Amino acid sequence: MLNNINISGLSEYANEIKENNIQGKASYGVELNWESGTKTRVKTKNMILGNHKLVRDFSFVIDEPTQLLGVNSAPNPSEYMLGGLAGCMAVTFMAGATAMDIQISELKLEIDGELDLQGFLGLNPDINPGFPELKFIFHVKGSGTQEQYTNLMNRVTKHSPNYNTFKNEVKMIGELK
Amino acid sequence: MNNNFNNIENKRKDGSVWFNDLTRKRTNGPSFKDYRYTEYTDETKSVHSGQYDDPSTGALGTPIFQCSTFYLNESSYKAIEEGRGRDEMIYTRYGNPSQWSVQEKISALENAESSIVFCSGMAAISSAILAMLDKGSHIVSSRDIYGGTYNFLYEDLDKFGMSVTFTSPTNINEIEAAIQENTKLLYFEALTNPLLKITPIKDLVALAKKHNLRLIIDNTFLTPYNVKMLDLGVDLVVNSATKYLNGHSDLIGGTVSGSRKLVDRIWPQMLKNGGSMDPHACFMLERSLKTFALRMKTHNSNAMELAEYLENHPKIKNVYYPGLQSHPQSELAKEQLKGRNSGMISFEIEGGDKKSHELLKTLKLPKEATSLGGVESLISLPYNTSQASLTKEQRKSIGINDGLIRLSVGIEDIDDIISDFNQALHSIF
Repeated sequence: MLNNINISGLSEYANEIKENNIQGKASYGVELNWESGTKTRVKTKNMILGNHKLVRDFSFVIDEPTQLLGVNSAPNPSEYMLGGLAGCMAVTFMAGATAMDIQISELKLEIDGELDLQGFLGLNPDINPGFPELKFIFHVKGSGTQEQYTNLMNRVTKHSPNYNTFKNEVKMIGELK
Repeated sequence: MNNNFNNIENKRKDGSVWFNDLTRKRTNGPSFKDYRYTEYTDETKSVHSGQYDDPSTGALGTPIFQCSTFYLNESSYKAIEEGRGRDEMIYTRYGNPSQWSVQEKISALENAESSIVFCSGMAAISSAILAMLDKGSHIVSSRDIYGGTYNFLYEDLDKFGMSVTFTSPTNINEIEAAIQENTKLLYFEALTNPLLKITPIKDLVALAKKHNLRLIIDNTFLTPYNVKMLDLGVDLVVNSATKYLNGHSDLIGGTVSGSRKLVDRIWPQMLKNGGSMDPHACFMLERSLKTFALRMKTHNSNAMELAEYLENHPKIKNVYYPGLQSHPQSELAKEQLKGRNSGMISFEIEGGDKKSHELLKTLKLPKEATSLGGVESLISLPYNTSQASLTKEQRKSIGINDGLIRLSVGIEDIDDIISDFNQALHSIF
């Protein structure tokens, strides 16, 4: 299979959703438990895809570096967030390349950003506590042209779910129990 | 055939192709022809559907494609690249005309979009179950299921990080109570062995829907002739083809049928586990299936007559048969089986297991052998075959009493079968 992606399966799924939109609905969730200090453990909740449950039996640990009062035992929340963004952009790019019949031999994606912890620490109300800017670089080798890769990058910004969660406004609904 | 990229080459050149441009949709099959005799009865489907008449010689009937591999060509290379290897002839473990032919016949009989034949019922069952589960999944199944399936679920699932709870096959409240957060699949048999309890399919379908689960039914004891499980909303139906589907006690096989979407997920599991059916066995199964409906009709009617005879015999204590008024679920039987009650009967004889053995030795027609669904009547005792691993007390707790006999009623003349039981019962009492 080109790039080890089953493009027939993707085509069949896309056409199934065209006829039955419900099959495109995917609900996700995580459950986080604080363990100690800055250390937390995330468990993935079961998904519902279409009408059916997918069991998501995965968990991972989050921590902070010692300089930020953690014990440096795992990546920190920002790194997981950027990793999730990069993973989604990469799979979108690869599936798109396969649909374009491009053999990819190497794909590397870097995402970098700087935030100012004055915002987190409450030292300056004018500072945005989040990342004001993220830079991403695709390093691509394969059978495609530069023009095709540029088009694919544009497609990623248009179609990647996580990219669009960052780019678009997300309604955040909080509750205390 | 039906690839992904029809007429989009130009769009691709300027890099504007996206997934909404992909054209390949799921179709029934894989198959050589679209026509499935869907408007006909099972009798006609049994004869005609799936048959592949050789176009080069004009030979009538499906040839035996006894080959392990096929010439590669542009079409097959393209199929491999695009991940649609199930629709091309590449290698016999992936697909073979003999497999496609019998799979199409089975799909027609099951009212399925797609089917796969396997080298045994257990290959079909284990592949179907594994394909439906995710890491960490849980299954709810029944204590009464076939020993091979029970062993797979009980002994092997935990090796894959999965787990199982066994419940009653008939009590829907007990089944629902066993559903956990990580439950993914309900797995039950339509008719249990050996007491022929009837699993309430409509209730199970509703339960699966309520909890977003998949439902697999093993329909070996009933077959698609008696009940079409997919029509009732079951996700996948499995059969041991060794039994009624083949019906001649001369091959081992299994089937899985369902939507193309789900069966396409079982196909790669089969590739990994092995278990594809040999072309010669496919030929035998397709040939045997031509008389499937005729055989089932006779199995059903013979069993009904014999069950009534046994129930009226003074030396027979209990008869378990869904067609009898005395069956504890006779109302459900009427609704679900609609008079097609199977060819299986279990009964208890006066004098316990000792007398059972005497009866088996004295009968002339039923063969003392395990298995079922053959043209010949087959008879065995659960206590020293299917339920041999249980103690006497454990057997009693699940209703297997002293003197229980399991009979697969064949298609011999029913008067001959009843005469044989008459002479045997007369001789041992």
